[in-house]
Amino acid sequence: MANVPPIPKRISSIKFGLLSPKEIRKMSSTPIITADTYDDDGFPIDMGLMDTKLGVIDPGLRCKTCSGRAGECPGHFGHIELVAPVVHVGFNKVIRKLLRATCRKCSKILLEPAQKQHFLDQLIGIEEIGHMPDDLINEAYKEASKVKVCPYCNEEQLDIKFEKPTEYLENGEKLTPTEIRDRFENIPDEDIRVIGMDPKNARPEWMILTVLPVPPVTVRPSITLESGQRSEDDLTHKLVDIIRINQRFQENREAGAPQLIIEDLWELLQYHVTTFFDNSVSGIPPARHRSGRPLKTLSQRLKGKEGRFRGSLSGKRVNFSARTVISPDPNLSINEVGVPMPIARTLTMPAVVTPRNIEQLKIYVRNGEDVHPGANYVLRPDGRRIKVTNVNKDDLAEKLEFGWTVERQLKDGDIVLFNRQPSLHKMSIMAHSVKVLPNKTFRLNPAVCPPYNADFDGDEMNMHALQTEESRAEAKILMQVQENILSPRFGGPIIGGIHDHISGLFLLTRYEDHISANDAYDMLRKSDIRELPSPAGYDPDGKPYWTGKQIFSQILPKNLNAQFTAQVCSHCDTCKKEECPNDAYVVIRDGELIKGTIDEAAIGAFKGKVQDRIIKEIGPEAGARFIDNMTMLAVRAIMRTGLSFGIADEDIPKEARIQINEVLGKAEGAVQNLIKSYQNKELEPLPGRTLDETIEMSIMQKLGKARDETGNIADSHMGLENSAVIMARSGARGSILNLTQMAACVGQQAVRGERIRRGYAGRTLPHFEKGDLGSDAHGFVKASYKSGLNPTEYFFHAIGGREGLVDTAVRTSQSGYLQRRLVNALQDLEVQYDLTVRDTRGVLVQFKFGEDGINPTKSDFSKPDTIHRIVRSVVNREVA
Amino acid sequence: MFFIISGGKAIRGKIRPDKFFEYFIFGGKDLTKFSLLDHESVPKHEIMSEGELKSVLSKYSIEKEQLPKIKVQDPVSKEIGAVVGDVVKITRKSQTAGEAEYYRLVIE
Repeated sequence: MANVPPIPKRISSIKFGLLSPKEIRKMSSTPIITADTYDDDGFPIDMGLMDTKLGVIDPGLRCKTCSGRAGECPGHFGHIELVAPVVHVGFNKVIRKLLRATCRKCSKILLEPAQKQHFLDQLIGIEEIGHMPDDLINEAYKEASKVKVCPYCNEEQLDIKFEKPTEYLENGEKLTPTEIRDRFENIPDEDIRVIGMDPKNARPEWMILTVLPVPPVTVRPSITLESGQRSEDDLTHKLVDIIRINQRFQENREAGAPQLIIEDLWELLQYHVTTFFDNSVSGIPPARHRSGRPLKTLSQRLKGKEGRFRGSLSGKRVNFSARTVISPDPNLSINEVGVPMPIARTLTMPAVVTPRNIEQLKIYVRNGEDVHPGANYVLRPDGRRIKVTNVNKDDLAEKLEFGWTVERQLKDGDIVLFNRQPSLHKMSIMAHSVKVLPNKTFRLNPAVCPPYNADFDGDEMNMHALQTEESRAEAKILMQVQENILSPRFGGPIIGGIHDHISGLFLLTRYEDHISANDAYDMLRKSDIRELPSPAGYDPDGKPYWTGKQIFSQILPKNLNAQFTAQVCSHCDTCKKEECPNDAYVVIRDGELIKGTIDEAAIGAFKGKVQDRIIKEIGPEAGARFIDNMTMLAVRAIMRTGLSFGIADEDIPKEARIQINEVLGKAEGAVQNLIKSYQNKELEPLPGRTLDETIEMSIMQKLGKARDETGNIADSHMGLENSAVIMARSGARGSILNLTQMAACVGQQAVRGERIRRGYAGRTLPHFEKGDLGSDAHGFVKASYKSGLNPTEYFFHAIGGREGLVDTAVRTSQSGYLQRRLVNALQDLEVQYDLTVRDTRGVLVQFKFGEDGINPTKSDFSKPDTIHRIVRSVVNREVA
Repeated sequence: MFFIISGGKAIRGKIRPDKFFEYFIFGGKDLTKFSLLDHESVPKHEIMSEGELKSVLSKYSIEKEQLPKIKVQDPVSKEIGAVVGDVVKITRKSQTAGEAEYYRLVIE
């Protein structure tokens, strides 16, 4: 570590250039002259497209160039001598530029010597500071193409027109590739530099091909069909076409064919060479297979999603994986994943045969591939892989010996990785244990949706079967769901109750209703609790009853202590703590819920204090068990009372409606007054604002207040008997604002935080007068969703709604890219055992992780609460 | 024509533009000679002694080159007169730890 290099490995330079004909011939192992591939014996023809000098793909043959066998030989280029030069499609842009910027007679660049020198000097300067010279080169080109008469030979320059795909017209007459090549050959080196090319590595005439490199056979392997017939690669087909036309061209020319035929053949050769490079050039029909399928030529191999870069290098496919739709199953543990039977029968795990497991493995092999837990393959120590079939399964089971490996099917309890894209944090891939289930979807406990950010509207997820003992052990210790309940992002649980879990426990623990033994046992049925505590009291008929708090206490660990405010807390000025009239102060003593309501703050994902305490004080296993029991209890609790929502729940009494209308009317009046004072120039501008800004802000504020007021009115008429209020207050789903909009008033629609102003000149819609500043004319929706919006309101609402959609679409892509850049910049940093943060060279980045060396996962919601807690538990009282 | 107040006394005179800052004195305080380090957002920077440096390097068991870097041209390096090869100790306020120490090797 003594001499640290500045970067692990530095690439000193990358050179890009064109292949010169000389270089193409030099790297070629053989010229290719025959269009045929194999002779009658199926042996590659010499100087044909499958010549063994180009490398070998058939086993048994040896390469004539490097004498390597198939697999060892990397392949070697050959070449085709083109009878006449053709244009390379990829360089059309540069060719056109050069034709326009150089003289048609003397080939010099069309710039005065002084001007040329000026550009050259600047170019050197730019190169020195390491900037891109693109702008300067474009300028030079622009200047040169403007010149109409050559400053060197006084030749008048003609207009060059480019016609798709590969034709150049000079004053309407076609320039042949030979002519273009001749012009390029005569451009002096210095002039080439001005146009941004390096004459050593890229002479312009090399963009007109006279010799075509033939890619090695390893690049275009032929495949043998079952019928024994050979099927060639698309590239080979294209090369065959090129050679055929090339030959015909030569024969015709030697025979002195008329110019018309020669030109046709030349064009045909150009077409084939063009499509060999790129079969999607606009202006020409793509070359097709006999079946009508367009050929996949060179650029098609690289381009696009399935191309070499995005498809093969950045993204690859893996074995031992499965993907299907996910659906919920609250009866599974959070550590489990329900795997459909067909997937379990296809994916395998290797098991080495030992004295301990031979009998079990024999059973698997005997079960074969059709009976579930079976085996699909048997591996012998010599490396042979035998498929287990119905024919050989009994035979194989008998032959099984120690040291063999059986690839047995996935069964209950196997550790697999489960993943949902986009994998944004470590909790996007977690280890689950398999539970084989019928049907065709992956099943997971809805409580693990938050870390994956999954829902069940058609989401698909991937599963990976681990293939070694080490990986399974590592996954189980580090990646299992229970080990990831606490998030390193904020030091709290990311897994917890959602939606119905929260409503369910809220309903169970809030009310002091009497729960009979029957109901109590029913609710706890799915947990491992089999005994009830002594009843809370007896009904008049002598039957014992229990409270919801008691039932919930049964699933709490026996030694749990916690105190916190619930989500329903109304944040009074002075907190009465235990005596909270709202029952919003939760007290858990020795695993018993004494006071308070269980809601989002207690068991919710991201917020749940109860899971948090259990995991940090007892352990992840107890935490997982609690979440399992909690979700199952909650589902049963919500089924006991039921929770539904209908239009009737948005009803508000008549007097409330009147009050709301009054508030809205008053607000509108206030807005009119503001407008009047604005028109009379009486309005005082706010500091730092123009008058126009001031009136807009005041109106927005007035109307916003009015909306809130209507919400309060509606809210005061809807109590906790309303299921929407229950959901909003407990934090299960939705907010009071949502309810307000449904029942009272939707409120101001805004675009970029301002009232809606776009539309016609001076007005939003023809329904209003020009210059109307009133609330209706600028998107204030007085109606509620329930009462229904009038047409103009509906239109403004659509405008506001559209902005929301566009915003989310833009934001996700932007934040995704931001995240990617951050991850790429930070991915190699590592926290060492001495708590320093270092990069791969060993250079320090932080002397102590986060400057305090605290693991955020183990902190209490990133607050220094831990210390208070320890002091509290030691001295057994509250310490400031 | 400029008015310059020096020690509470006003001086009146013609000033050559290139000499302007030499006279920039206010209330007896020479405003051209303020220290960068006086600004509240600039943490304390000091050049470490040989012995101090040795103990830091051995604490993290690293060579000098493995420290984070700071350029000599950096205004703070100039201010404290650090030269290439020095190690600067930076004591900053930290949101998490109250106060945190950081070390940077001065490079070209």
